[in-house]
Amino acid sequence: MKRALKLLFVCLSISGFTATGHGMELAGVDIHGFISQGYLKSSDYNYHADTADGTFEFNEIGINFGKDLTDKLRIGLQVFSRDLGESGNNNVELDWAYADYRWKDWLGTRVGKIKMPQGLYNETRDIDALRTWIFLPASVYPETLRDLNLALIGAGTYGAVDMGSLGGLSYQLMGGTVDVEDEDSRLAYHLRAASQNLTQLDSTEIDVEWRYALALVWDTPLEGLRFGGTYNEAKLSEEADITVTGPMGTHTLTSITDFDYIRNTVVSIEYTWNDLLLVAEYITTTYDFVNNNDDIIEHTHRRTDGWYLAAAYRVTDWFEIGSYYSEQYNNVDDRDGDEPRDYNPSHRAWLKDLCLTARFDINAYTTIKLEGHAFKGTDSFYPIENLPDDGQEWFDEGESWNLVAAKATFTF
Amino acid sequence: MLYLKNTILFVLLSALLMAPMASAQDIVIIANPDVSLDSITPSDIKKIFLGKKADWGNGSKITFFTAGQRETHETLLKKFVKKTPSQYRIFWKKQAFTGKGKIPRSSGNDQEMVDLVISTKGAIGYVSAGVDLGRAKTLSIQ
Repeated sequence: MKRALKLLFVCLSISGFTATGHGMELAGVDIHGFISQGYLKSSDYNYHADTADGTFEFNEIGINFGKDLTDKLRIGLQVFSRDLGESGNNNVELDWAYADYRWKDWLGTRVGKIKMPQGLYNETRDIDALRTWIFLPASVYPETLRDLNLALIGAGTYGAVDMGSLGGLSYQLMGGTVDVEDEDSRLAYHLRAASQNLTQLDSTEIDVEWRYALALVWDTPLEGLRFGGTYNEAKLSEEADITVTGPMGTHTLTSITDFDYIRNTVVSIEYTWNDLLLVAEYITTTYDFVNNNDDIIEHTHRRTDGWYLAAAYRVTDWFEIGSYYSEQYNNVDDRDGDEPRDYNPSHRAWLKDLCLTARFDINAYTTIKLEGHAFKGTDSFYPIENLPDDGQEWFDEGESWNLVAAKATFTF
Repeated sequence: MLYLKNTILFVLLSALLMAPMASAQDIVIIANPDVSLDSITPSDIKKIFLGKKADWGNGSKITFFTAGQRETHETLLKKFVKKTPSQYRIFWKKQAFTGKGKIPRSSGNDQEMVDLVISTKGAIGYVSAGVDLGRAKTLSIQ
C-alpha cells in the first residue's frame, strides 16, 4: 500500500510537472499532493524521534482528489502518510473524506471524516508548505494528543456571515467520534511512553465515545486583523495491560482509564500587513480521568496551558523569515515544577522555545526551510525515548538544549 | 515665490488626485453576459476571489478566474483582495488541502481570460484596461 501510494504520487507528479504547481485535473477530478522530507538534530535529549543522533525519520506525503458533483455539492478525500520517530511509520491513512453541501454562503454541511479546527492552524498542520515554520509551536499544537485532535468522523455545519461595518464572522460546528488505532496510535504511544517509572502499559482498546468542536473567526473591519476562538471536548476510555514489578514479582493487571473529559480552548489573534504576519495564540487544556487501579494510577484532574508569539516577513518572492517564542506548562498549579513527586527534575514541568526559520521558495511548488530552536525545559518529552545512562539521573543533561531542522517540500 | 509655492501645491494635489484614478484604470472587472449585475462592490470582489461568496444572489453559481499575468493579478490582489501573491497562493492551497475548495483556474493572458469569462456561465474575471472584451460585460466598481 505504501509503495503503491508513492508510485502513484511519482507518476502524477511527473505527468503534472509542467503545471504551475496548482495541481492537475483528470476527468473532472481535481488532484493535489505534497511530499516533504526533513532532517532533525538535537544537542541533547530526543525530541519526538532519535534526534540526538540525527534522524531522517521525518516526512509527510499526501494526495487528495476532489470533484464538484453539482453547483452546491462537492466530495473529496485525502490519503496521507507520515513518519516522525515512532509516530506514523509511513502507515497510509485516510486523512479526510467528506461530502460538502454549501446551501448558502452562510450555511453549509459536511459529512464524513472532517479536519478539526483547533487554533488557526490545526487543520493544515501536516502540510509544511502552508506556513513559515517547520514545527508549529508545540504549546498550542502538541504532538502528544495528535490522534485526538486531527479529525473527527461525523457531521458539521459551517458558514461565513457578512456583518457589514463590523466585518465578517466565520464559524464551524461539528460532532462525532474519533477512530484511534488502538495499539499503533500516537495516543497509545503517549500513554505508554509518558511514564517516568516505566510501568509497562500496552493499550488494547481506545474508545472515543464522542468528540465535538466549535470554531469562530472574526475578520474585523481593520484590514488584516482577525480574532479566533476554538473549543473542543472529548470523552474517551482506554483499556490496557499494565505490567508491574514489585516485591512479589512481576504481574499483569488490566487497566481501564475513563477520561470524563478532555477540553481544549484556544484564543487567537492574527494581523497581516502587506508582507508582515503577526500571530499570538493561547491554549488551556483541562482533563479528568480515573483508573480502576487507583493505587497505581490515581484520579487526576489537571489543567495545562501554553501560548506563543510569532512573526514572519516575506523579504522577496523567494525568501521569507520567521520567528516565534513559545511557552507551555504541564500543570498550571505547579508552573515551576517544584513538586518533586510530580516532576523530577523540575524542568519536566515546562518547555520554552525560541525558534528562527528561513524559508526559500525555489518556485511555485518547491520549498526549502532551515530552522533552529533554543529550548529550555523538557515538558512532554517521553522518558522511554530518553533513558538515562547507567548511574545517571533522568533528564540530567540540563534544562537548555537546541534543535536544528531542515526540510524540503514539493506540492502540486 | 508665491507662484512657485502655488505650482508645487498644484503638482502635489494633482499627484494625489491622479494616483487613485490611474490605478482604477489599470484593470477592468468583467463578467459573463448572463450576470445580471452592472456594478459590484470592492467587498464583493474580495469575497468572490476568496471563495466566500459563491452565489450571485439569484441561485446562479459564481465561477471566477485569476489572471496568469503577474501585474494584472497583483493589481487585483492589492486593490481588492488585500493579499500578496504569496498569501493568496497559500490561502487557496489551504482550501485545496483541507477539501474546502479548489485552486481557481488561471488564464494565460488577457484574451484567454475574456474567452473563459464569455464561455462560462456566471463567470467573473479581470483584464488590463483597454483589452477588447468581445461579448463580456464590464462591471463598474461601486
